[in-house]
Amino acid sequence: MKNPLSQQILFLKVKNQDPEAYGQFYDLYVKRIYRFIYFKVNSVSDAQDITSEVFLKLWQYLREGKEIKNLNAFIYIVARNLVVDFYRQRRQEALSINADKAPEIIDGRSDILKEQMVDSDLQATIKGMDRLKDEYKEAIILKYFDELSISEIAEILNKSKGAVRVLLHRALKALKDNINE
Amino acid sequence: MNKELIKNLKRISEFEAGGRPQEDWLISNRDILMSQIRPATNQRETEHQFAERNYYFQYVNDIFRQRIMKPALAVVVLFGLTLGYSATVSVANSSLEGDILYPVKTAQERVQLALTFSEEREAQLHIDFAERRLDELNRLSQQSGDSQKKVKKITKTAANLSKEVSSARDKLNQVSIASVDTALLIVKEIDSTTLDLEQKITEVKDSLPAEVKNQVGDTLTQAISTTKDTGSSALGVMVDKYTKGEAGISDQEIITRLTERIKSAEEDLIKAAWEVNQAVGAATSTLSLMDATARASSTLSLTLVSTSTIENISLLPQQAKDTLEQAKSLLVQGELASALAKVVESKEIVLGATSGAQAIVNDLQNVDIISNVKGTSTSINLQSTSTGSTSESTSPIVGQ
Repeated sequence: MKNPLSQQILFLKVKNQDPEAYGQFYDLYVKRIYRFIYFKVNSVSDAQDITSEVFLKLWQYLREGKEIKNLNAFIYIVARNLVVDFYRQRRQEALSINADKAPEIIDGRSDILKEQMVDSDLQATIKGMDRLKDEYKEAIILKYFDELSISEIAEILNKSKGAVRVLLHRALKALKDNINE
Repeated sequence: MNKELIKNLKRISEFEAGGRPQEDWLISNRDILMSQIRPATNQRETEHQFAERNYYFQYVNDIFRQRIMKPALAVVVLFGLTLGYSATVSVANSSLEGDILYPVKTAQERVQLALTFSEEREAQLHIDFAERRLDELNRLSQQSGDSQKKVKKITKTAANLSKEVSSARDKLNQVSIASVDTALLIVKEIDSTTLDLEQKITEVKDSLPAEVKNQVGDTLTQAISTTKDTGSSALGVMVDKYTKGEAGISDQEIITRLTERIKSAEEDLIKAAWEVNQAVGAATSTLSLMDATARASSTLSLTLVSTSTIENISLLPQQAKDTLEQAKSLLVQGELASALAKVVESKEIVLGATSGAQAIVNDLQNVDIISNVKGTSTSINLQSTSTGSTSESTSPIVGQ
């Protein structure tokens, strides 16, 4: 779906609540939304659950006739909000994800790392990403994985374009530092 | 440093630990989502069909509103021309074989290929185009109307699918010489995609009505066979790189991929065994019903359905099964290249069994016709023995 026109047509169909178009929209976005969430929650099953919820929630918004200007950015906003809800619920369940627990979760992923990757650079990159602040992670994923524009990232993160540029600069620097540690 | 880092960031997304979702979850989650959203929207279907035609207008209208403040006529004209081109290409993208805009779609693909200078990217493009052909096949198979036209379109599209997959295989052989990381990623993707393609072409084939299937079956079988070969080649390259100890393939990954190939071969085997069983059963009962006179006066076709032929074909599924068992043992022993060779061998036996079963069915149809012409009492309805497999015109197993 590289053609901007065909993508815009698809978005129009989605906004018009066409289920088949929504299926195509799912195909187009599911991998990146899953990845966006996965790096925030560090768990396959949680990322799967939240991703499913994102697509259902977005469909509900569409059904309620809420105005969505930029679908491309809006879906990430839905994903962000659901991750916040997820952590809030966790806290309420007294399973807070605090700094002491974080290394445990990262260790849980190290088995997958060992199984799948021989390349130590890639392992270091993933571990470096894991140790980043949440907002740095978001900025890097949106810019370098999903190739979103600065304007779209600004809309998703609710920041100015200038602030996003600064954020990206700092995020890359922090990632490099983490990798070199 | 930044370039290298960004490159690594892009690469990690290829792995589960880097945020790549599991394929089976993607599919099952999609099914669940669609089942959740469809019931509530049935009443809107007609509305969507009508609205379909208006989307382009809506889009153009939106764009027009955005641009109306810009007075420069030259910009407007340029925009109009660009939009016209994009719209044509976009509409062409959803066209099918036989449509007016289909040549635009294929021409666009050729241009993409012509503008690509790396072998691995070309291989990737051919696989992408093969997936497009599969999508077209799917849509063509669901079309109603003139069945002869449909047969023609499906045959051509399936042949083009084979061509794309086979071009991907040729490129793959050139890619395999180089050992760059991107090439390895593409080889992995070809391995996964071909498995998926194989399964989906089979689904299209099985979904076709009998009269269409009889005519396009050979071409679709050819497409499946080419896809299998390409998949095996991709896996072969991976096994080779793994055996040489090159980076980028883990123990777990290579074993998983080989196991998937064995599983796919087992599924093919089950289907082939059922087809052989049906054909052999029909042949045995036909022969037993025919009296000696009918046998003696029959033509060459009848002699093909001999006891020894039936016996040969009926043994093939077991041979394929034994070969697959050997593949599994070799995999356990870590003999990966030999395991893959056994999987390929078993696939060839399965293909032979399927062709043999179809050859029996075809020969029995001839026997039936001959017997009826000669006024004998043999009247076996062989259509009922047709298992939905393709009508192979030759019988390579016969006489083995």
